[in-house]
Amino acid sequence: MQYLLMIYAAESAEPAPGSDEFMKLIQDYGVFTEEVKNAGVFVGGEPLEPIATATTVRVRDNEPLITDGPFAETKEVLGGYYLLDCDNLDQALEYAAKIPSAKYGSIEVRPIMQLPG
Amino acid sequence: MNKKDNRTAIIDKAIERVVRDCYGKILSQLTYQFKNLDLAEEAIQEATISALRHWQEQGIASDPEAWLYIAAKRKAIDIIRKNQTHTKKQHALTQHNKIIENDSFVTDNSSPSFQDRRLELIFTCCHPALETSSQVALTLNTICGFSTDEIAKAFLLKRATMAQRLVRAKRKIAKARIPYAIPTADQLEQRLNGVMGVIYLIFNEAYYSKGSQYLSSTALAEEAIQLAELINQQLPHRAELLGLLALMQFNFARFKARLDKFGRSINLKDQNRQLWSSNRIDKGNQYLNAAVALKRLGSYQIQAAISAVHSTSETFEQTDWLQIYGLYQKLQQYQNSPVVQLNAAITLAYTQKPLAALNQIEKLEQAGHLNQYHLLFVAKAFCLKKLGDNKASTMAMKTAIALSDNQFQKDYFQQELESWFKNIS
Repeated sequence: MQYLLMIYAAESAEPAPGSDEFMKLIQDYGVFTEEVKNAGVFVGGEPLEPIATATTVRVRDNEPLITDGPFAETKEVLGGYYLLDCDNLDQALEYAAKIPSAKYGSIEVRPIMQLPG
Repeated sequence: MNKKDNRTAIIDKAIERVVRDCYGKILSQLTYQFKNLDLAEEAIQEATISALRHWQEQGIASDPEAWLYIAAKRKAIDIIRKNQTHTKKQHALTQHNKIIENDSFVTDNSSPSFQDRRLELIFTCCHPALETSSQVALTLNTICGFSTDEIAKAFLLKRATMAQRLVRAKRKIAKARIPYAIPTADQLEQRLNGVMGVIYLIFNEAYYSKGSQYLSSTALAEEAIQLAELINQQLPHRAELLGLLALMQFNFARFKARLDKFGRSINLKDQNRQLWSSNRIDKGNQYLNAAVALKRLGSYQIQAAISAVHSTSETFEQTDWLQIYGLYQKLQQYQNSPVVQLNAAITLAYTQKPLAALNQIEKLEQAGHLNQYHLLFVAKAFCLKKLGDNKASTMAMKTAIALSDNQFQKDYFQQELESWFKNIS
């Protein structure tokens, strides 16, 4: 069963690129990615560019409406994801807790919908 | 009612009882085997209908649990047959036929030897991925076999609200695949804490029960204790679990004394201690001794120890307040809530240190967490009375009366106040 692990964090809470903490974070992500790959549960996973690069599209009355950024009011933004194939929720939650950003942000774990057929 | 109808009604009642007694066990076993709670529930429902029909005619089976289990399992396989597409069906049936062949039941109908899987299902129902209120409802519904209606009434909710809560929780279990399993060793302790929290919520719901005319509060409290005992059988020597069992036994001992004839709660101070169950108190002490011997202290054990001191004291006046004060100090290391701090302060007043107690209570009042809490002002009034400041004491009690939302309690505080100062004014 596949689970999407969405990594949410306030960009202000993340270590600044170039700092020692940043290098440590990158390293920790490397270790985690290695672990899920070795365990055979890794299906996919990527970090995202900062929220400043986001563009939102809506179609209203058949007209696409394009705006800068998301309209989210929340401070925590989606910063990346992992798609893992786990036995059950407990296993997915165990991996979620190991994602380095979980220490200052939050990981939303959602099962991928199983379509019939 | 004629004789035949009467007999039918008696048998119906007996069957209902039999089904409830083994419901959780069979449901857990089927859920564990088929990895599908909905399917297991549907199968037991159908098996119960068959049981009613058969047992009405031929009398209740000699081993009703085994009978129901086999019937429910066959129903489950029938349901799978009906629901699956042809190709999937072939695969699923081979799997399930294996389950049947491997089952000693089919060859030997006399011994209900299937393993108890209730603990697995308890961990599913109390999974932290579910809301606490859903955890409580699910546990009562699946493990204890209470109907949606009964649970709704016990918690003073509309049936539809409770039904929706249960459906949502069950859907999440299925869709997010919350496992039917005992957590791994490194998760076990934390998850067990969650389960104990749910059990204590159920117990307290019974203790402070408002829905008691529907679902007997004694039955609900018994269920909570049985759940804890069930876990204790499979996960023995856990200090906090034993502590919880002790705490529930001590509190259960006071069940008959806790309410007056109008169903209003009576303070510990005013309870008739003759009504306390010495049998329960003995059990509580046994559990507490076993817990303390493990030398892993925790908040349930300390709360049980506090309850033990009260339970073994012949009168309220003879209570060993110094010991209780020490225990509250200890409890604050594990559970430092304002209410625990207030209780510690009240105890201090009983140890003849009303000034120190008053200082602590005023500190709590100023901190602002409890400044709308009526019991803080009762405690304050008590300390001021002891210190001889009758005017301030009366004022504090009047604040308590104003803050209480319960007329019986308001009257009680008023009487207390009058008894304190009857010779003065």
